[in-house]
Amino acid sequence: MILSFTKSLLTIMTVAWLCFCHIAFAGSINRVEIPKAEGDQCVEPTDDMRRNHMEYLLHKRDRTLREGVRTKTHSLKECINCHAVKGSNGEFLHVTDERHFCAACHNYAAVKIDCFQCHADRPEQKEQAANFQHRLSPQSHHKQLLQDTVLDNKKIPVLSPEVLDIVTTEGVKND
Amino acid sequence: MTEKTQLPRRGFLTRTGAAVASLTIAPGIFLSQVVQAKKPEEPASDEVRWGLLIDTSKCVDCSDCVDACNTEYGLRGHNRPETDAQWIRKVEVKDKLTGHVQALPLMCQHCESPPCVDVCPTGASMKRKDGIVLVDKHICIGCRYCMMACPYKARSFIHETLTDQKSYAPRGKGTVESCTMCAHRVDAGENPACVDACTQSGHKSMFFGDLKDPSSPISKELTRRGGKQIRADLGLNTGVRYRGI
Amino acid sequence: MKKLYYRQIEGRSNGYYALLAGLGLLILLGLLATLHMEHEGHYVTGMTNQIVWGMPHVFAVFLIVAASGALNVASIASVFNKKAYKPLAPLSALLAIALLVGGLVVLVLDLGHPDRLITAMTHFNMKSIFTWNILLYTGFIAIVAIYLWTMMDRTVNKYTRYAGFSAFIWRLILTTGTGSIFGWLVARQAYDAAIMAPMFIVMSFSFGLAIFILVLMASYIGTGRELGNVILFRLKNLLGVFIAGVLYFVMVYHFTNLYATEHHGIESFILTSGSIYTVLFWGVQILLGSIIPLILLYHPALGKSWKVIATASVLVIIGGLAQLYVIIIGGQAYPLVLFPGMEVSSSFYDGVVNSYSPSIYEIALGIGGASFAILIVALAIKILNFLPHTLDDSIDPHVNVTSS
Repeated sequence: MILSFTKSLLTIMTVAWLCFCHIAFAGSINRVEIPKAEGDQCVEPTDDMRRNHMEYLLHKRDRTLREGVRTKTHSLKECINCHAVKGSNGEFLHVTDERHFCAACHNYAAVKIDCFQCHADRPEQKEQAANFQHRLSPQSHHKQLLQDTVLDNKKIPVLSPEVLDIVTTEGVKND
Repeated sequence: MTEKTQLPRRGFLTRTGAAVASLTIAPGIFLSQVVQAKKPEEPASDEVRWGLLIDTSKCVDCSDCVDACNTEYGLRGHNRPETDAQWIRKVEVKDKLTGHVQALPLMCQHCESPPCVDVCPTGASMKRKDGIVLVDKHICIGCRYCMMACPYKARSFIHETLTDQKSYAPRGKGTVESCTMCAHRVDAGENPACVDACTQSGHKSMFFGDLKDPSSPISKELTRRGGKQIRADLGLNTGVRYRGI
Repeated sequence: MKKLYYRQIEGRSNGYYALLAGLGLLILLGLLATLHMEHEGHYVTGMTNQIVWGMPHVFAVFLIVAASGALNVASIASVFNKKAYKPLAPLSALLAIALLVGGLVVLVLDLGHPDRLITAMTHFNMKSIFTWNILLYTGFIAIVAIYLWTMMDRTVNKYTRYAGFSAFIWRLILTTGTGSIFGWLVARQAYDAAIMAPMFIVMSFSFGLAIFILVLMASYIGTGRELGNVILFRLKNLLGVFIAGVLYFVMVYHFTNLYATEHHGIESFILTSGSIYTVLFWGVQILLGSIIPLILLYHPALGKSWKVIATASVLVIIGGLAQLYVIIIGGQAYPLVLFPGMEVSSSFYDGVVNSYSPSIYEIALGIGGASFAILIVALAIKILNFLPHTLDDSIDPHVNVTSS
């Protein structure tokens, strides 16, 4: 009750602030550049992820840590794996760099996150992780498909539950 | 576990690369016969209780278990031994009367009634259904009351900023941490890193398994030759048992 | 016979502004220290994986314990109906809230994640005495605020007794909770004792009253208002009783431990080992903080001097801080008993006495919190009518109290 009230209050204040900014600095705001991800498509539609990624992550974190559910969908580890951005020296960037996928938006929106005080902000290197920067489509990698799906003119076949278990547990090397 | 589905694990996959289709029946691919992997979507179950048995008579002057833990979790010292984290340590125990000395590895004892869980104001200190005691760092406020309450000094507070943590073991400044009994490995059907290291070194002093399953090797061992708790007087019913103390 | 009025202090003197500036500076230093600790991590402090609670906790627990004790003067008036104390009741309640807030600020700012205060307010583990304390502390502030309102608003004066009674019961439970933070710790030799709870209650009587006497003296001397000997001597005699009460509980605690062989280790560590804790216990807590103040307060000639009363109060505060240092730090410095009867050693400081040297940041944070508490009082007595215009001996406690 109080939480939802606070939430709506914050929303109203944000909107008011944005309106003010819009009027005050019309035309001077640059759009944020969102770095491209490794996979073909995200685990949820982009619009949905933009609005609700925090909800997915919040739900998933409790399921994983407190209950021991280890699915890959909505796993922060997988987000990082796919959305990691390389710097000019070929090294993956830390979240302290403004080109980092999360930092790009969060700096822009001035929303402070403390995920990366504990979580790694970039993937482990190839030799350390079996599923390092996998290229398997998120459609099959993260989800059980009930029927063959056509995505971007590519046919993704139904995977047997056993195979899916393996894939969702371990990921697949891309080489 | 009710469902004894045998799933392949990481060791196999790494070897076989993308040959995923033929995995369903493949004998001899298990790193250990002791543990069954649960399905990823399956939550930890209270039908199992993970535990360790440590035979101190086989524990020699080595630190393989400690090193394995430090490697697995990227625990690096900062040249400040008083604030550096230790999840598992070798403790030397000397009988004042007889002078008899023995060494044993000591880590979170994964109590059935953990004092750390009792005292935690936010519920960050928690016990999974399968008996593994963890810190939910998402809601840990860093009050350290659990460290005051733990009779085994099993917990460490992170005193500095960390980067490039292991993806399976998030840890960071201002929160408390301790041995997770390698929950991520256990969920994947593997042994804790310390146990594997002890086995590989040939000492075979550490055993891991399901204490609730009477047919598991660890239960059989415990039934046959026993295993004591450290500070049994506290009545915490620890998940880590020792032989020879 | 004069009628009693409550009046704000004028608060325009150079002394007052100097006080505010001084307190502000100390608070600023405390905040800077916090910023440094939280940015770098706790390795910059003296706290370690062995001594997990350090100087901030000594200050915080002292302030929190003293807070509930500061309310006693009001309780004596409202609950035990001693009218002589009635004029002091609003200041007593104000000081109680201020000290508690000061203590909580220190406690919260020392957390590994002070930014997650909202988490502590939304995730409750009801088996934790810490959780209960969070509720007890916030409840205390609310109840004492209501109590103050019933005292300061004539239209609700008739409820003062009930509010005062609730606040009194609440504060007893609160200090029980604070003592139980240590009393319920089974793991450590120095704790795990039910006597912690009542001992903390008596400690609160003593520390809270000592602070109250000093604040009362300072505000009356500072504003040039009259403060009679009658009320001050009552308070100092009461302080003596409380000091003796704390001594009694300390004695029972140690004698009980000395009887059981299993506790001989911790007892000899605190009482005879010659460590800093032995010095603090005998030298500061017992001699400087208890025996000397008792002699000073009850000495037929010395006990009548304001300076001596003030000195005794300061000594009680120093002794109280020493007592909490011995309880909190000393209790952790003594190693855990992993294997009773055995000697243990490891790379993780098992079996050895742990060392602790408080950092300047922790001390700055503690002093900042205490300063914050005093600042609240200093500002509040300027804004609202907390202080009687006079407390000279002619004030008749039986005349109705009027708020202007």
